Amino acid sequence: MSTWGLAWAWIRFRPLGAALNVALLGIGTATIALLMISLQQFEQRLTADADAVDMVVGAKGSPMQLVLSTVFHVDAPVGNVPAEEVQFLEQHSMIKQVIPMALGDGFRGFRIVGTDTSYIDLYGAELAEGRLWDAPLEAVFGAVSAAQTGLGLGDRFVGEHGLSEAGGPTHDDFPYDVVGVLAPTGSVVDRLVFTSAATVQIVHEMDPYHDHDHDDHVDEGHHDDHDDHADDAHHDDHADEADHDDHADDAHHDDHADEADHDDHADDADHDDHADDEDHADHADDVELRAPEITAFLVEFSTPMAAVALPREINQSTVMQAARPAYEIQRLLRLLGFGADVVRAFAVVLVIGAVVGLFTALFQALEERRADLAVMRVLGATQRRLFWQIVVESLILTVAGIALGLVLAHGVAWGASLWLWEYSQILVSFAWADGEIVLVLTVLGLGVLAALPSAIRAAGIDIPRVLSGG
Amino acid sequence: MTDSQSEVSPQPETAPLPGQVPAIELAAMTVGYGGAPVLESLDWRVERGEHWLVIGPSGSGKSTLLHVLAGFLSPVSGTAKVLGMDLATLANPARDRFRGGNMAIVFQRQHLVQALNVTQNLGLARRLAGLDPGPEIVHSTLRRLGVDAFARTRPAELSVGEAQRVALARALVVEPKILLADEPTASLDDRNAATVAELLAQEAERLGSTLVMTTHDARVRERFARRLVIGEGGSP
Repeated sequence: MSTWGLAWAWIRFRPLGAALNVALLGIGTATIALLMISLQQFEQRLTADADAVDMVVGAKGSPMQLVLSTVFHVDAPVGNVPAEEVQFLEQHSMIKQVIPMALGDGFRGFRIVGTDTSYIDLYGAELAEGRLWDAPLEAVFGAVSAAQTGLGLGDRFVGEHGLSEAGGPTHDDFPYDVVGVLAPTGSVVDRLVFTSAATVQIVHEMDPYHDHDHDDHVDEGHHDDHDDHADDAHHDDHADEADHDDHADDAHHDDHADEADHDDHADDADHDDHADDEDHADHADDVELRAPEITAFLVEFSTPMAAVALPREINQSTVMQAARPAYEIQRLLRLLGFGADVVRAFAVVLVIGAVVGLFTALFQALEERRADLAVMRVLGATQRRLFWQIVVESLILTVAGIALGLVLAHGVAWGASLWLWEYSQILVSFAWADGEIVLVLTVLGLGVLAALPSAIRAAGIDIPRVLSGG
Repeated sequence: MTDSQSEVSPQPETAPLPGQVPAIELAAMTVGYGGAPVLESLDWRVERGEHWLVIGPSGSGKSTLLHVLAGFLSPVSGTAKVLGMDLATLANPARDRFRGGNMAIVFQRQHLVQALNVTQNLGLARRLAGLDPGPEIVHSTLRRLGVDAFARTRPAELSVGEAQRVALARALVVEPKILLADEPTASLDDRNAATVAELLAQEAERLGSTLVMTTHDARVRERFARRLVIGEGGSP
């Protein structure tokens, strides 16, 4: 009977107590491991989505809101950016690429992002079927948004005003054609619906709903700039459209009414064409030619120096704000870190409680086995052998507890990954988290530590006294 | 303080082989606890293969003598040699290994490991003695002692008599050179006491082991020709 064999026999001799020790250790270990896995997954997903973007430039406001709304698409946009400021970005020597983003609408909870096709390249997404958009009112779905809405190639849909999952009034006159579906990427791209920036502009500015529901835009942080509209020729072109009367009370349109060139446009041949036009797509073609109003720009630097100099320059010398996703993520993780620390502290208390339980169980078992241990000495066991006999028993229980904990943690993570894939096609790994090996070694060390008092006591057992019943 | 006296009945002597060290050799040995001697200036020589009964009233130091022979206690003065080895000179691990490799002890209480079945208890003894598991020896020992039917039984399920025979089997399975038995029949009824005493003597004889048994049990006295009588208060 080896040391391991005898330790196992002793464990089997008190199955309930041993199972309790293992369960307590397992729960503590699982809690910490699951927290590690979740945090790592969360950080990896955030980082993966943000890594592609060096900087976001948008309207002034909260930089975190700007990043959350334009990179992760989880918050309301801050506002819109004046067109002339866009030129500043495009012409800047430290900027390699500028990708426009126009937000404001959604479809069944999935955001419609008006952008150009370089956004797709930014995340390395590939088409599963169809093609990318190249004309107004053409849309491409991400893998998750396609799967969950059930839309595919050749289908038509209309956008809903606003970005809430509950949806809002629909832009019925501007149906989108689905021209492509992207393959899963595991990034934020999967959960979006893409179209051109100009399309978003068309839908918002030509749909009568746009002005009626202006307050909704404000609530969502999507602030239309009235002054910009005042200077926008677009409104003049449509001054006599059939729906103009509906806007008669709108202060915004009153401003337009006083504009000097309004009457000129009223007789414009182009305008007449529009007035009789039943096909809104023709409107779209016209609008696309004008400078779009943009929610934000995703910026790629041409030099690492830009990371330091450019945000400050933009924040100080323009009406826009610059936000760095990498920095904002770290800030977000620090904010979330407090909550994680609380859970971690709770889990550490669980593990320590389990180790104290193990210590108590071993010590109690030792008292019950004093005669066994004394007889082992009589039979030739050395003090060292008895010491290790107790440590090995603790090790078996600890390893079982750790194994149970890891199986629980990774099992839950695996289940969550299946669930997330089934319902949202989010790719979640249940692989080892970086700190898990440290966790395993720490719990193992605590298990040995819990055994030491009993092991020392076992090694120093008084054979004659025990065997004579003392 | 205890006096002692050796008694040898007229039975065939076990003549020591030339050059062979005695199994046990005590010379002016004094041993005690906390400065109070329990056995004082004891001289005793046991040749290999001899069977001795150590008798005396409770508290006379019979068990203390066995503890010295097993190496649990060291003499205060004098020497105690077992198989020529002065155990007091050995470090703890060496003494443990010497004991495991040469001796076996049977107690009044069986002290079987409760978590192991009968076979495993015997296997553990062989393992700790530095021997191979020897399943055949284990089985044959159990059979000789009439407890092979309990090979897979846990100690808690055995009667006292059965458990004592298993304890005896555990002592014999390592084929000890010296077999020490401390009041092995004290808790047994007459029938079991007679059986255990008989088995002890038979098996020690078969293995050629030296047997030293302490007892104050009158039922087994007549079975042993050699007796070491340890008195109390200077009375033999």
